Amino acid sequence: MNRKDTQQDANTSEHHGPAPTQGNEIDLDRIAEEFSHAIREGNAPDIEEYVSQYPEDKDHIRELLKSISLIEVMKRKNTPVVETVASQPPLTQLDDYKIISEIGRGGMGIVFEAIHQSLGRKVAIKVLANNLLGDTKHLTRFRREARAAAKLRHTNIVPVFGVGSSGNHHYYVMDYIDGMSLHQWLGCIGQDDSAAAPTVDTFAATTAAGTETEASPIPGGTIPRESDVPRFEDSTAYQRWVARLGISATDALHYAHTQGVLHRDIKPANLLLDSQGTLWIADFGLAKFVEQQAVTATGDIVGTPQYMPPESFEGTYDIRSEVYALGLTLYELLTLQPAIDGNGTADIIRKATKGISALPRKLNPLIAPDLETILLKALAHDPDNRYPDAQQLRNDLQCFLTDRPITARRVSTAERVIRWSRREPKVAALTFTTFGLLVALAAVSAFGFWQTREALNRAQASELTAQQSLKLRTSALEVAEEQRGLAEQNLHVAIAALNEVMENISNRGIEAGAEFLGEVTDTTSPNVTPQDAELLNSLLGFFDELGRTNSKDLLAESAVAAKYAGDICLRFGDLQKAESSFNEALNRTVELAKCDPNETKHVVNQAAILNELAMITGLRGKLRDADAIFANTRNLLQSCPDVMSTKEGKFHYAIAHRLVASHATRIGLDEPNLYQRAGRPWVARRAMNNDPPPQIEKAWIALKECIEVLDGLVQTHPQEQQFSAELARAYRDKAVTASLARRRTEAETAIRESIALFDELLDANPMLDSIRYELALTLSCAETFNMDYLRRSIRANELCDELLKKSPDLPHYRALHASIRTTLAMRQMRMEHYISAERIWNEVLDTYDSLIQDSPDVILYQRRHCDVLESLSDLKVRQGDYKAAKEYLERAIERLEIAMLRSPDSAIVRLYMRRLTQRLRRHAESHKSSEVNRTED
Amino acid sequence: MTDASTDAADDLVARMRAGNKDALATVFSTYRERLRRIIQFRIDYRIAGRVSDSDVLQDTFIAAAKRLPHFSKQSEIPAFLWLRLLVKQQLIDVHRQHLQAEMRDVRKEVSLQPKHTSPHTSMAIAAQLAGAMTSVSEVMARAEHIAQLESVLNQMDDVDREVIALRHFEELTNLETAKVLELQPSAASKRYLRAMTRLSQLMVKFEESQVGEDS
Repeated sequence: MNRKDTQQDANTSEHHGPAPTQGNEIDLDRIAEEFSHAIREGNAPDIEEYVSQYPEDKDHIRELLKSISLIEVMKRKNTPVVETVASQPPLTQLDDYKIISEIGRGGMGIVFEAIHQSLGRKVAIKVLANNLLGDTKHLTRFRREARAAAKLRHTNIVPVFGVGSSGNHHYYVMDYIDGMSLHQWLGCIGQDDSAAAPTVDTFAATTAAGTETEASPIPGGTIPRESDVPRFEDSTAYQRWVARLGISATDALHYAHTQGVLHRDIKPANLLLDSQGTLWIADFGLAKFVEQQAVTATGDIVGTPQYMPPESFEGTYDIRSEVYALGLTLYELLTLQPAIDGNGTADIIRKATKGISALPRKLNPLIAPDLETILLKALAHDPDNRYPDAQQLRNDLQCFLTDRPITARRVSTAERVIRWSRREPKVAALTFTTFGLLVALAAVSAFGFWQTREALNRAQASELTAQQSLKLRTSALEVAEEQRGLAEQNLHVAIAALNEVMENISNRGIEAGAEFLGEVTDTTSPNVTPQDAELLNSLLGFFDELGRTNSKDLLAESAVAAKYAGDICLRFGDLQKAESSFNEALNRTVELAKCDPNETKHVVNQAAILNELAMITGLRGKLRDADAIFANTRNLLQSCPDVMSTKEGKFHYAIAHRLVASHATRIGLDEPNLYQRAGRPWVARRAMNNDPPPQIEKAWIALKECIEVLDGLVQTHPQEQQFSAELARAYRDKAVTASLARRRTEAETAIRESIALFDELLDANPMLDSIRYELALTLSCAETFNMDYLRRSIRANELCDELLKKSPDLPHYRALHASIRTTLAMRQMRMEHYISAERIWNEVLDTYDSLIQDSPDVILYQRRHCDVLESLSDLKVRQGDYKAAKEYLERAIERLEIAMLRSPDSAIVRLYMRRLTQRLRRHAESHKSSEVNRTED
Repeated sequence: MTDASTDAADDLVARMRAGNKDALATVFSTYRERLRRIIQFRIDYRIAGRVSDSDVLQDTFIAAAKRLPHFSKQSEIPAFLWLRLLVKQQLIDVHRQHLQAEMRDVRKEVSLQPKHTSPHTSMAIAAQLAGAMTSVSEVMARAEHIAQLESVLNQMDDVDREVIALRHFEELTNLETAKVLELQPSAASKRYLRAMTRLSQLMVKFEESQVGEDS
């Protein structure tokens, strides 16, 4: 801005000596601001000029300004590099080259038509923007690349004659091709200017690819002779022409690859057609190099990632990437639409990483199936599935032209499903067997039974190799002989697939064998994705289809399937869907039981499903329904003495009781998180009341029953660890309930039992993290009892750290950690260490924030988040900061409002909301009175 | 100081503080471009294609009109910083809306680095620079470049990184930066200079390693 100020600053600071002092730091800062401002205004302030005004501190200031310049220049956008070239007087002569006219311009520079005077030869010269090759290091590299390109001699590669520099200008010289680029050509025949850059005003990419593509060494006028290029409407001839272009391009590419040169930027703009209809590839290796330097130097945008293969976004690029890029160009020629297109750079990048989305024949049904097959192989998402090199692509194109069978094999729907699954990282964890089963399944569901058989027969007849690859499907083939048998068989296949998927899903987050985890919100796995749900939904549609035709025999299987579906929805956090799936499973099981009244298995299954339903209804806050379900389960089991004599019957009977108890204590009370509320006035009030609330009494009785039964089970079946685990859980619940009922001794005994049982389990299964987690959970609620708590919470903390170290992302681990930290904060607050309590709570708040972001539908996290806010409000009250306390309460209410939007049917949230609002009101009143007190004090 | 010319007049701000919505509109339009820059910088690059900065600006204005009474109560906060605060809240909402719902999808999208361990600001800085480098071939090279830059930024302390972000990407003045970070202006200045020195040292190291690779 004003240089005078700086001068003065510089002068005054001269007396301060070289080391920056308080005073000249401000001056330095002002210079920095001024310097940044100058760059933002579009000037190019001279660092040395500033430095010379500030001799005392010159190293320091030079360093500073260099950093500023680096940042400011790098982030500057939409400043076309060419401007620097364009703003200069028009070029007329470059060394031995006489400039005739400008052909095009773009991010890299300007292309001129010129005459090499000594030789009298017409050439195209690409003059690079001066600032592209500022330092010698880049220049050397550029020359090296150009030399490599100049060595290429091929009938389809635009010859590069050399590089040169004249004054400020760096340029390279290539042969003059009289024609146009395929990009221009497509622009002529296609209605929409397809390859133009996105128009959406994202802050990225407004400098169009279009402008850049003009910068090809061609005058953009001469269209190849009509006779050479068939009209698009003449589809067969046109396709053959495209195939021939593909052959020329692959020839050139293969040659360059054998010379060790990658083009790195194959796109229609770099493929030229001369007036003879010959294809030329321009800018071997140079485009990439130059663009790269251009961008790092100026932050300019010179194109879109439209023609980039997916793997290149991960930094891999090889011969197969060029096959892909060429495939994209051929795709565009055949469909007249870019294979990858989108709104804005971000969108295009996203799509480019996913690969093509529309089959070419969908866009242009006239494309020959073989040609499409070739295209799809070139465009396979995974490089391993593409042609290994340009030569192979060339051969297949040649086969297509000569009507010989191509080597590329059509990828079946099933395989596409698999490839898709492989690309989806979460689903990619599926095992090979699952793939096999899915192949069978996808084949069956895609074509229907008869078509499958036909398709398989055809495939078998036509190709031996195909038969081999169809091995996985032979089981489907065998059973295709009989309709009915097939249906059944396929159901088994589907069930097996379902089992695999389920097992796979549980293996991702939760160990196998730990299926019986109690707290459903805690088992909600981040590793269950919408894709899983989708996959399962498609499987379920299949079951429904089959179930309709074959009701009785398949009832058992479809009941299992429905149960699985419920389970997956539960883990995925979709409680409503889970409920309806379990209801479906229940109905089927009930029917089965009717058919088979003597089979105890069905009753046990019913009980198991009822328990799941009780849990879900409880979680959804419908406590009366949950109670009704419980009554149902109890009656069912008690009415079948046969079942109650089995261990499974007893087990589910016990679980039902534990669930009903946990509803009463954890959810049934208006205070949602009891352990965190100790010491609150309302607890004190409740403590004055001698009778425990009726729910607690109910829970107490239920838990007693539960523990009795489980004790018996553990005695008779010491090997069954799930019984011990359930018993340990029941003791934990008992401890919580006991403390609520102020039966301290019993609470302490129960917690010790629980710890001992989990310890034992952990000794037996040192690898099972879920037990470690449950143990930590038990240990962390020791705070309730205020006995021995320090030792326990330290151990809980240790266990939790251990778990988080292994799986830092698992939400229930993070939630446990947060709850342990909350306990700590609580203690700090009680000890009046308000600052550290506040710090911990803020940390916990962050944890819940991110948990909520990951799993917005888990009400527990929302609730706990609000708990923390409420605690912070309490803390502020204790500190006397009523304003902040109020703000925290308001924040909690705001969050609850969001939670209510998400879960409008949750009674808990509503209850909680009401309580908080009341509290806020009370707060406002007590705030007034406390202020009065204060002034009285 | 350099932005003094673009600061809204005191009397306008006073009227805005008094609850005048017209004054708010004028003040808002004075700061519109600066706010837009902040949005462009802070918006997650993954949703930048879906939400335009104009949308966020508009929502911010609506929020500002709604919360104008709050502003009158906070006499210590300058108008620009108050609006900036609202912008950031809007952005949080936008991110929640878009990234939460599609968290799983978005995570699979092109990433600057294989892992997302970097703190948010360095991601934003790196993404901003990456956004400026979407040339066809540059995107290929960006994994490398951005990773380097990110690692440089990640080596810096949080506050230092934030100072750089505020000064150079949000283009705040030192005084504003100081207010945002609740520091004394001299302390903010000191942090800024220190951060820049550190950045330049790290960049030198980075460049040296590049030259090494090249030869």
